[in-house]
Amino acid sequence: MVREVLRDALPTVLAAASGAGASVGEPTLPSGDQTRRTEVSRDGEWVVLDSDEDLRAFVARLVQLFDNPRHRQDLRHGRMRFRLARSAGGPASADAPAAPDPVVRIERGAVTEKQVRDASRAGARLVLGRAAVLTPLARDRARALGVHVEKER
Amino acid sequence: MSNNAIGMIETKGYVAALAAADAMVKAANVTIVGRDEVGEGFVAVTIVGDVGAVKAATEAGAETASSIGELVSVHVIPRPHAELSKHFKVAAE
Repeated sequence: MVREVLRDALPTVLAAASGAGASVGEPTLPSGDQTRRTEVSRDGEWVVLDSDEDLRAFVARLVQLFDNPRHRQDLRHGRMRFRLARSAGGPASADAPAAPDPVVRIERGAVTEKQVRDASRAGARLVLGRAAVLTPLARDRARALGVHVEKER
Repeated sequence: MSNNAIGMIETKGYVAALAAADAMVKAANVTIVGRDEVGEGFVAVTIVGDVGAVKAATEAGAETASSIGELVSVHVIPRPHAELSKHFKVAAE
């Protein structure tokens, strides 16, 4: 009963008051809601839009957010922010949206075709140290997959 | 067997070169045509074969060499010019 009243009152309290008011109200909220709220309001959610599947997932996420009256208010008033995660790779890169430009560093030894393929799957670019040697097959594969290879001098 | 590509692997240290040479001839249909010791511990192994075979062989050889010793360089020349074989040991006997 108390929880329901608080839940109804909380959006207005949160909108009106600053951090002090929020810290009074929040302990009664379920912890899942609380973390989601801070994540959304502070730095926004990372969104990957590389394929139709990603777009469908994003729309589903919006519909899900709309079910919650508080999130609906937030969306309507622009308090909920979304950030576009850029990725060079294919659909597999959706697994790591928090790192938009990952780098695979190889300091020494042979850089084989397999390592190039793994980097491509992770959507990463390759940075080779002075002692690293790119094999001809790996160079061909990097060109075919569009993996950026950078050699340090 | 048509020999239209040259593959070369250079290592620092004899053991890595020997292991790389073994890995290369086991990995694909290629022939070893030379082993050059240029000093300071550098050993270069040269192979010939089809372009695809040579690329696959150098891939395997480079991986083996770098896991055992120090890989210095690896290179493939597809369709080498005939002039090369007059001055370098790059043709199968």
